[in-house]
Amino acid sequence: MSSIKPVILIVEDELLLRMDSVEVLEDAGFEVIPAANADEAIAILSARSDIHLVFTDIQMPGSMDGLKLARFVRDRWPPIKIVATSGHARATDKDLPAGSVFLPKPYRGAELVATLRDMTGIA
Amino acid sequence: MSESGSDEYRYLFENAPCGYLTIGPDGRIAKVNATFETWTGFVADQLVGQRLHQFLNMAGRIYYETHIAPLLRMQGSFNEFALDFETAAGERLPVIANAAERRDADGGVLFTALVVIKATDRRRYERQLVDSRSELRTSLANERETAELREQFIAVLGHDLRNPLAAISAGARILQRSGHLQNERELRVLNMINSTVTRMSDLIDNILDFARGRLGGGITLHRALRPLEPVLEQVADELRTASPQRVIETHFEIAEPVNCDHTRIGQLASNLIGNALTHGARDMPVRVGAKTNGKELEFWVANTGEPISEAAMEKLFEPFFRGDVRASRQGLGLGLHIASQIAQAHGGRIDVTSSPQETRFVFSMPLVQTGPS
Amino acid sequence: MNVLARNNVHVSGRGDGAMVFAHGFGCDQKTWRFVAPEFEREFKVVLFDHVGAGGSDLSTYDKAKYSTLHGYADDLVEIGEALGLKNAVFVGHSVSAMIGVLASIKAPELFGRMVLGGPSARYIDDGDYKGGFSEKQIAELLEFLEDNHMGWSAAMAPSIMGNPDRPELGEELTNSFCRTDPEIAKAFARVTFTSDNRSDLSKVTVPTLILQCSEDIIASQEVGKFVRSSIPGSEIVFLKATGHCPNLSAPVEVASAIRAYV
Repeated sequence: MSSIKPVILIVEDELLLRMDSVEVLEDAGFEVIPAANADEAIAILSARSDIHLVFTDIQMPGSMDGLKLARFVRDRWPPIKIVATSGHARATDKDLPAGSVFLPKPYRGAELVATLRDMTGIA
Repeated sequence: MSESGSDEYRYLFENAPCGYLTIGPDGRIAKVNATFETWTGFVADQLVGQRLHQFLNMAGRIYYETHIAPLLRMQGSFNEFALDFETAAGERLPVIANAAERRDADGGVLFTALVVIKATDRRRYERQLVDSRSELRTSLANERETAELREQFIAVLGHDLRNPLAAISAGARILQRSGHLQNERELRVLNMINSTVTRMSDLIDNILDFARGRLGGGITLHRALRPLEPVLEQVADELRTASPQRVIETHFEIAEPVNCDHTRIGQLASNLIGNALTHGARDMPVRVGAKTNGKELEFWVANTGEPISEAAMEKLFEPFFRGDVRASRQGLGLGLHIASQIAQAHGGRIDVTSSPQETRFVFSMPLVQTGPS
Repeated sequence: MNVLARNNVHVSGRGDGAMVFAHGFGCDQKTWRFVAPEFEREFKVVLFDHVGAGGSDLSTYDKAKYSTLHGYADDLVEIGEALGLKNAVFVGHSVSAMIGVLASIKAPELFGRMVLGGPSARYIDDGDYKGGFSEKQIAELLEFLEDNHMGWSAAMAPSIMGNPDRPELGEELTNSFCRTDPEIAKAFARVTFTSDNRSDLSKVTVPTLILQCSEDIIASQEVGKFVRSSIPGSEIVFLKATGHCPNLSAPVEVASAIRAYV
């Protein structure tokens, strides 16, 4: 069992959802960095090297949507795990980089925590 | 051959129950029989010496020159082709024809025999078949297009309805968690916001699932191997919040992670518990449990109250079935239907028993060992 | 993609030059069976099927590509390239006459001479130009083709296979038309009979001979003469044969006319 707090980058343009997910995950023992869109996310990823996992919405305004961001992250920083979410059509295995997980909206807080614990190897 | 013998053959030729022509090597009609004269309204003198295609409509002429004549030269016969003659009265005479060349030793044409059978009804029938097939193809293409548009609309609608709802309940949760709202009344308001959003969200889920199902989309699953208990607990909590006067007892004994679509199972659980809350006795608890035994997952919801009637039992899982409509009853009657669809999609089933002592819904599904799909 | 397989190309005979035979509407390369062998001692004889006919690869049929004769002309040019043909003799019957014209314009070195049997630059009447048909008649033809496609999916040529003594009863007889997808046949008919290549004729740069039948209702003498007067330096020979397929009904006359020209 790891004693490091896993660092999660949340990318979500809807403010309330972002705030809520941050709180839920922090309560569950994660360190959480919020970003409102892909550009912010990339800036943060470029500035820090301790991010374990990116949790991103797919439909986002701006230069990149979540799918493009996921591919970008896998390309630049291969070890970072990816979880994507959307209220829209479900992403298939083909759309996301290998080993990524898709969490359909609406997701229950418990489900999000369980998924992230699973992916970061925390019991 | 004797006179009478040859007369007999002549008679057979002239009065055959089909039109009979022979065409010379120069392509001109050499002989015709009486039947053909009768059908076309032309007498032999008008026919003999003319080219066959003069008596065909234009389409027939083209077809004769480009298909029939070459085929006859290439293979010596051609059977069951359609032709349209034009009678002396200017009417169309549709026929089915067989033709065969009679050749000399060098393969040159001596004459061509052509037999025609009137086929007005048959040709009309065939034409109707061809026409209705084209119509079907067109409407099938249209249907597909419409179905695609509807599918897209549903997807967009779902997303556009769900996102703001999710934001509302996220906001309510944030306020709740902040601890700044101490007043019981205010906290209750927050709870109601949450439960209302949940109710609306479930409603949207059910409607969209139903619409998609009716379009033939069915319920697609996205399986993953993860613990199921947290999802079931949260469903129970949401429903407790929505109905604070009611007691929901839970007893979950799920030993291992379950390979299933957790969101869908959550939806199934929510629909079954919701159903129990609606129809069960208000002053008695709703009992919810789940367990795995290595081979199967079982999830049950039991309530006390009036038993389900025999008549209702048969229609329980049909869409829009609402049983006895109570004054405060909300909903469309889709919950059980969707639950049964989800059960089926997982290869499982929902069994119902109902007596004055207890009504029990049991969902069971086989446990599959493979990992996420 | 293998062009030679796509178009069921057969090369026979030997010689310095090549002679390419292109079949017309309604048939496949087998319509040359009485004419083509006459040239096998002096020429490399090339036979092929247009996509959609005979033994061509029906799966390569593309509705958009073959909605004009240019699609077929492109195929012909590709066949020429695949075989390395230069200055070949082209013998095209019926609609293939125009296909050959278009191919020659696209690839001027492909053919050295052209023989066009029963050509028509446009089948539908247009003002003073008498192609021979009205639009209504062509529409009736397309409908009529459907009536016959219902018929001869059942119509059977003898199932006796490849009897060399009686070639007219051989496997070749598995009715080339039966092999054609009815939709493709209908489309090819539409393309053929609604084509208009009058303005292309003047661009031909290759010596051309027109073989004109008497009493050909598909391509009348008037139509044949129009082609002759529009292709610069072309000649016309009037055959005694009647009908639209002299290559089958009067193969000797056709072969002589071709021989006289090459």
